[in-house]
Amino acid sequence: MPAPAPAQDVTGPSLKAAFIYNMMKFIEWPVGPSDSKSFVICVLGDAAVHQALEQESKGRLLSGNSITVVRVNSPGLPPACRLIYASGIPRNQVVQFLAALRGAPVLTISDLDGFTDIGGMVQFIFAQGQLRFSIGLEAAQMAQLKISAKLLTLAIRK
Amino acid sequence: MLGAMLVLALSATTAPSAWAQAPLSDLSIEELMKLDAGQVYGASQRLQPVTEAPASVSFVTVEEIRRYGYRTLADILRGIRGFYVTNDRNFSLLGAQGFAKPGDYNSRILLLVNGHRVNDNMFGQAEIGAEFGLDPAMFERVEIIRGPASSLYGDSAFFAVVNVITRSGASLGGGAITAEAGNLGTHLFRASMGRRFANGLDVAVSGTSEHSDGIARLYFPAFDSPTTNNGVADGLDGESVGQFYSRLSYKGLVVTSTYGTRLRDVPTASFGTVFNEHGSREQTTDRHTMIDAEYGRSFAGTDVTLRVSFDRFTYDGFYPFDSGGKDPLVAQNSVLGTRWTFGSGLTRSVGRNTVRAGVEFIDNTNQNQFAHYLEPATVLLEKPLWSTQHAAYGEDEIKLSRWFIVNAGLRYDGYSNFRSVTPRAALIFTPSSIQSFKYLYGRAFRAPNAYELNDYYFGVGVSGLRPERVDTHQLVWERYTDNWLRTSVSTYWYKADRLITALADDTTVLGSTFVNQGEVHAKGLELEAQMRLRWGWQARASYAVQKATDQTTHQELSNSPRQMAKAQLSIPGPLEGSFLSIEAQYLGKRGTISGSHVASNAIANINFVQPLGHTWEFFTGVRNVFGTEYLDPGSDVHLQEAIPQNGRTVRFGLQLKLFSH
Repeated sequence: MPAPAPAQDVTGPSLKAAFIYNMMKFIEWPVGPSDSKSFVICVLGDAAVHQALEQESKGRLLSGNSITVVRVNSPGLPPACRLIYASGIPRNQVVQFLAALRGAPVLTISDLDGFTDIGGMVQFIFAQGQLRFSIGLEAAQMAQLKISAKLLTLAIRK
Repeated sequence: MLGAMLVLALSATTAPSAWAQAPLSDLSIEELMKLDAGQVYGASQRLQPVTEAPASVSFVTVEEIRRYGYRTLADILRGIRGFYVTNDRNFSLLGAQGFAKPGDYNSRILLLVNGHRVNDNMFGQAEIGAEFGLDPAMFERVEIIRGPASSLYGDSAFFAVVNVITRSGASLGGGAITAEAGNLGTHLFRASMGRRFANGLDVAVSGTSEHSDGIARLYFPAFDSPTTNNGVADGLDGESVGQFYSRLSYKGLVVTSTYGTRLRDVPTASFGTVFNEHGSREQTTDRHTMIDAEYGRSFAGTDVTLRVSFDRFTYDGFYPFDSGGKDPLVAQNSVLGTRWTFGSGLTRSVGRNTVRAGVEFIDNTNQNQFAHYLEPATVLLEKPLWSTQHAAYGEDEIKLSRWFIVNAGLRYDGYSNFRSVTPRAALIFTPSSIQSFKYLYGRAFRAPNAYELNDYYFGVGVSGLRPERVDTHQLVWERYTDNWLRTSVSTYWYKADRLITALADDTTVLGSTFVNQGEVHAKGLELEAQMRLRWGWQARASYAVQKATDQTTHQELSNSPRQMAKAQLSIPGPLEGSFLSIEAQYLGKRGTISGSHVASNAIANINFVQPLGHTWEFFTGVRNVFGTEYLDPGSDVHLQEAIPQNGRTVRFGLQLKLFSH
C-alpha cells in the first residue's frame, strides 16, 4: 500500500489514541502472577484521548486479552494499570506519579515537554506538522518492559 | 466534480460513508507518522490544534507540493480556499477575502518564513511568484491563517498570514539532484543536501537555477498599430531565477539563510515605456537576502525565544522611454531596503491560561530609493531613508471549561510618526474533540510604506499618511467526521478604512499623491471539505462567495470575483509509488479599473509522480491542461485593460537521490 499523504482530516486526540494502540503491539510486558484477563489502559487528564482510545479499542484484543480504558484521577492510580497516558495536568503531578511508578511494569506515555527526561517512557512530539515520539529507554528497561527495535528506530533521537 | 465532492462531503457528515478510508487503528505506525496532526504554529506563535486556534487555517505540506508539482508560492496559494492570484507578467498579486486592488504590492498579506517577516521594508510586499526567493521544494509546510493578526505581528497582517516553514536536513534525508525541462523554453536545476547527525546537528543546503523564455509572441490589442509591431511583444517574456537556501540547527538554535534573485523581462510596456523594445528592455530584478537566527529554550515551564534577523531587499527596474530619437531614454529605478529585527517572546501555561508575550525592535537601516537616467547620466532622485519601529504584544488563551476557550491578544506598535494598538479576540466552543465553533474579531493595520512616504515623488502631504485599518468578524464551524473527512464553513464581514489611495495631483513630481480616504465593506462565505478516501485517494474541494464594495462609489471593487471554486484530487497508482494529482480552479468574472470586466475562467492542472527504483524519480506536469485563454485585470501602470495569461505549459523532470537513508 502506498504511503498516505498528510491528510488534514484527523483530530489530534484520535491520532494520539491510534499511536498508543499501535505502540502496544511493539512492547512486551513482563508476565506477572496478577495478570487479569483484561489489559487496562489508564488515562490521566485528557478526556478527548480517553474517548478516542475507548473507540479505538472497542472489540479489539491485545495478545488474546480484551482492552479496558479507564479515566483516573491522580494520585489514586488503580494498580491494574498496564499503560498510563497523562496529558494536560500540571508538571509536578506528572513528576509525582512517575516517582510512584518507578520500576513498576507500567508503560508511561505523555505529551508533556521533557517527559522522557524526567523518567517517562514515551513522549509525543509534534514535528513538521506530524505526530512523532521519543523513548526513555532507561525507564522502560528499569520497568522490565521490552521495546521492539522497530519502535526504537522510528523514535526521535533526542 | 466539485459539486459531487461537496455533496458527498456534506451528506457524509451525518452518515458514515462507504467511501471512507480505513479506521486509524488499521494503519501502521509508519502510516500514522505521515498523517497531519492538525497543529498550527503561526496563529498564536506556538503549536496548537487547529480547532483551538483563533483563526480559520489551511495547510499545504511538502508531500502535496511534490504531488501537485507546485513551482511557486503563488501556485500553492491558487489552490487555497478563498485565495486568488493576479499576474501582470511581472508580479503576482494575492487576493484574499475579495480584496486585490490592481497595482497593489501585496502589502495586506503578511508573509513569514519560519515565523519571521519577509515582507520587504520598501513596499511592504509579500512576493509570492518566483521573485519570492525561496524554492517551494524547500517548503516543509505552508500555513495559511485567515483574518487579521496585527495583534501578534503588527503591520501587514491585514487579511491573512502565510507562514512558510522550511525543510530541515532530516526532512531532506540525503542529497538530490533535479533537472526539469518544459515548453516556453523552461529549464531548472536543483541540488540539495540534508542530514541530521547523531549529535543533533541538522544541516540542509539547496541551490536552484531556473530559466524560462516565456511566451515568444504576446499580443496586446491596446498596442495594435503598425508603429508598435502590431501589438506583438516578441521574445520579451523571459525570467531567470537563482535561489540559495540553508538551514542549520543545533539544540535550541536554528539559523536559516536564504538568497534569491529574479530577473524578469516586462512585455507589457508598463509605465508608458516603449513597446517591444529590445535594445534596452524593460526589466525588473528583485533580490532577497535573509539571515535569521532563532534560539529557543525552556526555563522551568516557560518557553523563551530570542531572535535576530537581517533582511536585505533590492530592486532594480529599467524603463526605456521614448526619447524622440533612435535610442530610448532609459530610466533606472532602484531601491535598497535593509532591516535588522530583534525579538524575544515567551510562552507559559499557568492553570487554565496559556500566555504568549513578546517584544520586537526593528531597525530599518536603509530604505533608500534612487532614480536616474542612464544616458545622459542624470540623477532624478536620491533619497536615503531609515527608520525604527518597536512593538510589544501579549495573548492569553483561557480554557474556561472543556468546551469553551477565550482567547484575547493586543499589540502596540510605535513608528516615528504614528502609533497603533490592535486587538484580537476569539470565543471558541468545542462541544467535542471533533468539532468547533469560533467567533473571531480582530483589528489590523497596514502602515504607509517607504514608497508611499516619498515626499519628493508625491509631495510633502504624504508625511501625514496614517496606517490603513480593518475590523474583521468571522464565524467558523469546523467538523471532523470519523477521521476521514474535515468540513468547514466560515463567514466573515469586515470594514476597511483610511485606505491609502492614489489621487491625481499636478503639483507633485509624479503627478499623483496618496491620501487616506478609501473605505471598503465586504462579506463572504466559504465552504470546504477535505477527504481521505478509499484506495488512498485524497480530495479537497472548496467554494467561496464574496462581495466587497467601495463605500465612496458604491461600486464593487475591481479584481474582486463574486465566486471561486476549487477541487483537488490525488490518486495513488497506477504503478507502485506513483501518484496522479489533478486540480481544477474556477474564478468568477472580475471588474477592471476602467469599469469593464474580465471573463470568468476555469483552469485544470495535472501532475504525475513516478519513483523509479529507490534512487530515481520521474515527474511531469501540465498546467492549464485545456489551454484556456484568460485574462487578469491590469492596473493603472498598464495601457492594457487586461493581461493575457499562460496557456498550456508542460514540464518533465527527473530527480536522482544520493546518499539517502
